[in-house]
Amino acid sequence: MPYKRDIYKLARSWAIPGIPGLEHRIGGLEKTFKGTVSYTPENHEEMVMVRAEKVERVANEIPDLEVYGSKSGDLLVVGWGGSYGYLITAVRELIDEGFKVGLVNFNYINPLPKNVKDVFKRFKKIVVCELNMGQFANYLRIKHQEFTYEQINKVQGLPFTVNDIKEIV
Amino acid sequence: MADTMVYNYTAKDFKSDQEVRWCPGCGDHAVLSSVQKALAELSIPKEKFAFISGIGCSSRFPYYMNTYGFHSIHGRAAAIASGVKTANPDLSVWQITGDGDALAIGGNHFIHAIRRNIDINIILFNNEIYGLTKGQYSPTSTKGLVTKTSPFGTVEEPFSVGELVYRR
Repeated sequence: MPYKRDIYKLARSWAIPGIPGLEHRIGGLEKTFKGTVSYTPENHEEMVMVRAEKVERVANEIPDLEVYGSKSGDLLVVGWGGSYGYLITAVRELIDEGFKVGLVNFNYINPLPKNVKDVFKRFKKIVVCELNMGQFANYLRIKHQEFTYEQINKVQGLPFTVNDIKEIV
Repeated sequence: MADTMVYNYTAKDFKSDQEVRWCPGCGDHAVLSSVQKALAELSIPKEKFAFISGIGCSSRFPYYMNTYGFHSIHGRAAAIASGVKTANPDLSVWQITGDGDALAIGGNHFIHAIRRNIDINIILFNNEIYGLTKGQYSPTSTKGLVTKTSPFGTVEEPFSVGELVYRR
């Protein structure tokens, strides 16, 4: 049945046009589990929750967060996206100077990887470095409220320099 | 390409099981039943049809057809239909759009679809208004028409759609 959702992933399969018997319509209108277009409030709420759950379950498919440098210690530097280059350089220099510092660079934001809590709890201090006003730090505060996050922000159209990062230690 | 097999389709074979939600008396109903009757007469197997629509009253169309269909995003039916046809030229690709969807937000994709001329069939439902959103004027509304977004009458000359698609 073309509208059926996979039990584990909650996603619908794709059927390629041209295959006899699998004719179906996809599109912006919301449907019930069976594929009938539905405008009812109850179905809408149910479908919003199913879609949210589908996104949450993507966490089963994404790789775990990888920690560079010390796997536990005094300081965890947190970045995301393109910040990896300068953050890893700063962390390596700090490790050479004798500090117990680790680095995580998030590539998956929604949903977050499953091992975030395990990684975070092994460090005494967490600092989130972002080239904005701190959106990811605030996001982590919502998703993982059990930790305290410090943040370094720079909004100059320039990347962090290694010294920017080393100053926080 | 029509093949030499004869398919005994009737218009009913092309009706989906979905409730048709257009207002009673709307011309869209007539287009729907005409297309269903017409497709039944073509010698093309039902699974080879693909109906791609944008957004608007016209674009509800794919849900009412028992074929492959894609109700996509506003103005982009031409882009998606071009993609569908290019990926699988054996399909009979029909683009369903309206005067707002194709000529306002979709104007860019529309002119490129015309320019490319890749054997897709475009059905543009021209009711000279934005119907689904309850009555704002469109690029084909008559000059001077009083609508919700032109309380003193529009000040623009409308498109003549036929003139837009003419090529040397």
